[in-house]
Amino acid sequence: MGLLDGVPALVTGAAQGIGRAAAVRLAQEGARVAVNARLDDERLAAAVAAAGGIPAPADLADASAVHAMLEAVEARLGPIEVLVANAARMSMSPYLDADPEAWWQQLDVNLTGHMRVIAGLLPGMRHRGRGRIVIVSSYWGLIGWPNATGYASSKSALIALGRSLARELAPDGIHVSIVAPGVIDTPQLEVDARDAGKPLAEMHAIYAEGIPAGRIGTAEEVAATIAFLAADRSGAYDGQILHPNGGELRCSA
Amino acid sequence: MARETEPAVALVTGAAGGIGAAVVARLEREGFRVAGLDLRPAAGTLSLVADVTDREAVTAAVEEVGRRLGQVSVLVAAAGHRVAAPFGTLDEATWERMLQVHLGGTGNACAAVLPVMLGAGRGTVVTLSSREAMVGVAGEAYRAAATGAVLAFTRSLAVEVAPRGVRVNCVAAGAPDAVAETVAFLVRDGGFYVGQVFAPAGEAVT
Repeated sequence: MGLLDGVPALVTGAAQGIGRAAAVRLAQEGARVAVNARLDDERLAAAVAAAGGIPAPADLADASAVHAMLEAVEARLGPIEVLVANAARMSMSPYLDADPEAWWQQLDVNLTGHMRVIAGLLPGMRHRGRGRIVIVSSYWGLIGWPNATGYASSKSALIALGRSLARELAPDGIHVSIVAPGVIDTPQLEVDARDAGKPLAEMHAIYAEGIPAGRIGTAEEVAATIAFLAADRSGAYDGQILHPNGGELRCSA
Repeated sequence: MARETEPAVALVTGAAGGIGAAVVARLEREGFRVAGLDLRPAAGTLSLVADVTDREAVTAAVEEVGRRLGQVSVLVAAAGHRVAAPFGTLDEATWERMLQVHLGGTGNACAAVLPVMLGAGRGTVVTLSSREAMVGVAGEAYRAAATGAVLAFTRSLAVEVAPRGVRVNCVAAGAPDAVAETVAFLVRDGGFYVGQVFAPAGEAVT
């Protein structure tokens, strides 16, 4: 028996990395998973196959696409009870050099995009008096990061959104919690390695040096936390921020 | 996925209390052989009667667990001494007892199991704190202080032993079943948590 047997769930930004691992883990726990990604491409198809779910392509920056996606998903799976708000875009550059359009696009997806999805699901969750929302932020949203002002701002705002919604919605039986992962082994690290002109293994070692646990985390570990928070059995997590980061924040706070 | 422990041996202090008993039952369902330590007999595969403030007694108890069940790979330090009293109204001996049970007892249990865990290069330690330690509560200054000390102890011990494979985290607040579920999660899937304070309290306290 899984933690989420038969529960309809939506994971946004699930073509790769933490989102994909979360979709797979929720499915392993028995959930029926709608797998969202910006593009309806072969990566989404592979993630859908891995999770045994249904595809739910939509760009969270596009309000009407989000609306249509939610309608299609709920028509197939029934009312969504678990939302994993994970989709994110990142574009790094020194603050003064940042392309304003790319900078604001991060806010439009990483913050406003999730608000669009949540707004679409909330009336139903409220009506049924139950729902779980797990928001995936980042430790950069807590401590900031050089050349990541837009991304960090979006992730920080997402924490404030999640904690406020947690207080607002708990009386309605809707539990909102937040995961703020540290450095995790995802395809993003390949981008970091390329930008730094270093081999991927060296990138891993550089990151691991600053982490008390002595290693970076895995997407599966974050996905396990997401499944835990998504399950009724886990108890009343409302507005809590969990930090799967190997202790890195301890040394930076 | 990093699995912290094979089904193995766990030690729970305060095992006769509400939270301790729930943790014992939950870990047994996870397949652990559980030693329950308390001032009075507790549930578990092995019941140990000892006072957590007595360092030698705790060390002897852990040695007995090692002989009879095997080496401890999970410690849940749930022993507590709860007294609610407006500040200034508690006698010194009672305050001393609170601090000695919460901070001293947690420290004694950690000291007794850590050599084995560090030797094995793995282990999971879960300490217990309180809602009072996270937020200010009128009439609970003593309890907040005694359990708040455990928060600071946990965070520092966590970064101290993490490089050697032992994960130390804390559960603050929450009903017994919620605490037990969180302990089960940490044992199963908690490999990348170091010094985290979990608060399944039905409100944002962290």
